[in-house]
Amino acid sequence: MHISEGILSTPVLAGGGVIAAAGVYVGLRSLNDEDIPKTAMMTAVFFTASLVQVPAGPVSMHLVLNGLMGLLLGWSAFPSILIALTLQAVIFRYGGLTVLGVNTLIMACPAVLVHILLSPFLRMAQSRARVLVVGACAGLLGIAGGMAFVALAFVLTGRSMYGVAGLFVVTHIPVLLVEGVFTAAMVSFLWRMKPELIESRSYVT
Amino acid sequence: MTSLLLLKVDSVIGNIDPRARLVSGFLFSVLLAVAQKWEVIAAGFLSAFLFCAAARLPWSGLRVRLIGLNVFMLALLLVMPWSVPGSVLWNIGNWTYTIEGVELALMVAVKGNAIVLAMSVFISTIDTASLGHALEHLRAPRRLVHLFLFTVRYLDILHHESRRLFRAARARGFAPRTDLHTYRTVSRLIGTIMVRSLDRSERVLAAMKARGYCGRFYLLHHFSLRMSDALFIMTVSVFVAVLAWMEWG
Amino acid sequence: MSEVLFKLNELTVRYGNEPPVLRNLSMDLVKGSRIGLVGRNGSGKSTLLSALVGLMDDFDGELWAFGKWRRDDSDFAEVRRRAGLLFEDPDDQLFNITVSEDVAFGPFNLGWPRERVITAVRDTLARLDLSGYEERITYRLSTGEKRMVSIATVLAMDPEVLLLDEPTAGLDHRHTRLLEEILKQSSKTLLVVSHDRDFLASVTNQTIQLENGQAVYL
Repeated sequence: MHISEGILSTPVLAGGGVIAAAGVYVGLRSLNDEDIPKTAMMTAVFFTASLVQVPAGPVSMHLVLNGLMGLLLGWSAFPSILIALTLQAVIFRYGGLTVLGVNTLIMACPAVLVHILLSPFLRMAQSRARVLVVGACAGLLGIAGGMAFVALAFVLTGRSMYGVAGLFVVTHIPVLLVEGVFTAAMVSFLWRMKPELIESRSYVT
Repeated sequence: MTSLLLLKVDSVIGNIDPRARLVSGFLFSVLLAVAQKWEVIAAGFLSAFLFCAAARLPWSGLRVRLIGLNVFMLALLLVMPWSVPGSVLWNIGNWTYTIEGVELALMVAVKGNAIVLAMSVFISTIDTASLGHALEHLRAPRRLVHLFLFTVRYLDILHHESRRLFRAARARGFAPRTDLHTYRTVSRLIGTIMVRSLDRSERVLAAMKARGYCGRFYLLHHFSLRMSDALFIMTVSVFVAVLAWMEWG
Repeated sequence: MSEVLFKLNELTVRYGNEPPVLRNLSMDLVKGSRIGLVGRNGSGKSTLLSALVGLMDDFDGELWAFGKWRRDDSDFAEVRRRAGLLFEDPDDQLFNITVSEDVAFGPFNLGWPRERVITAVRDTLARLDLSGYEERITYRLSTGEKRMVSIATVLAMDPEVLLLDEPTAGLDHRHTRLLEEILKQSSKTLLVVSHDRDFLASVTNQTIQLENGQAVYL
């Protein structure tokens, strides 16, 4: 889920860059040096997972997993997502340097929102059913939030982008559903395999 | 990292200081992203194209990316002109598809292609480890650089691990479809990679501490600017300056 | 003359630009044969097993399996249902949460009805002395236990051919003997990679040595 280069207006690009930098700063403050190898490993896992293609009806899609990142990383989702997107831009040239800030916000803001709203429920969840529900909500909120931010970036760029914003939202509805199911399955898997991942305040902070 | 790096080039560009390439790529991208005038965008596209040709980038890797980008740009061309006011080309009731809209969509498409070309030649040719070191030299926050370097180090291991696990699942007759079994299986494969990798990162940290790590990395390689780097920076600066002058001068 | 299950014709397999691991390898695997595969480290034993079920993305030469020449990934789907491959590293094989889920994964992929899968899981675990392990978390098992469970994941699919890569590595004496008994009693076609000469002598009756990418019958 990203916006390509050359589309957004200068104020949106600049504003996105500044706000993303602030988020990354907060995220880095929440890390201490000993957390770095773990957070990096998570970043690498999410990057690798984003290369996996999942069939969704006639097409196949890549996973986004920003909701899950929020649950597991908290605020460090910001630097983690920035790095994953930088690598995507450099290796595959998806997105680019000038939209890096906006693209980071698109994924990281919903991730932090998931962290704030849903992590407490996940820690309290006692049954598998509740864990599944929280996981599904995290997946849905991650993508829905991302869609909202993409639409906002388009709308702020100007009237000319209203149609594109609508097209983006409509074409991403399947992603929304798949991520909901998938994130629920992931969270429930982790809850059973390595509960300490889920139970700690957030694994890293 | 070779298995993940798409553009491996043995040309002049590979010898230029990564910092110089990073900064050049950034300046070029920013200028093109901000530009509003057709002549600037066209000149930018042309010069990015010439840089790619001069660096002898392999077209095969570039083509795949450009096709993907332009499928999106085509969608833009179909949708965008409906929300731009101007002289009407077609209309359906109150909805108008305008010439101004087509022009704007084409401008976005040329910009997008130009930036991807510039990224490809200046930045995608830097190997990811050098990129981390270049960031450190350019005074990026220390923790961010460390996070980046560790991530890059783990990427290749994870890439192989994920290939091995998916292969083993295929060996047991797993074929992805659109169903819950597939989603559950893929989520478990990724979850397994995550859990094992976290254990491994704990072992890595322990092993690092055993060798005296206390939150600091020391760079073995230092970059130093050479004559060819200076020449490269000057060439790119001239291009960027001319484009900027065309836009605002 | 028995039926030929696998036939390799001038098979060459390489990883990237490295020199080939298997070089113009030709051999037949006849139904009912029980072959031990030996060779130095890096001689291509594991690669050969992977290649037989089409897991090496790229190979030169021809590969015949279960009555057809196979080339593309889709050709091999049927081969993987009929030949069970045990990976050298059990961590490659196990990725489900509990033991029973992991053992059930293959049978479900074969499209068996639920009751049959449940029976297969229970019977396979019982045969391998793993009764009571159903709800254990695979990730927390010891190396030897993981090995036994990964053997169970292969046997549960009831394949016609067993391709086993170091099946006894990490097993204690008792479990090695148990596996020996199970393999001796089964009539399946066997291709076993092992450094354990005694084990090979007891479950196989023929040995192939891989040398410089070629098969040498001993």
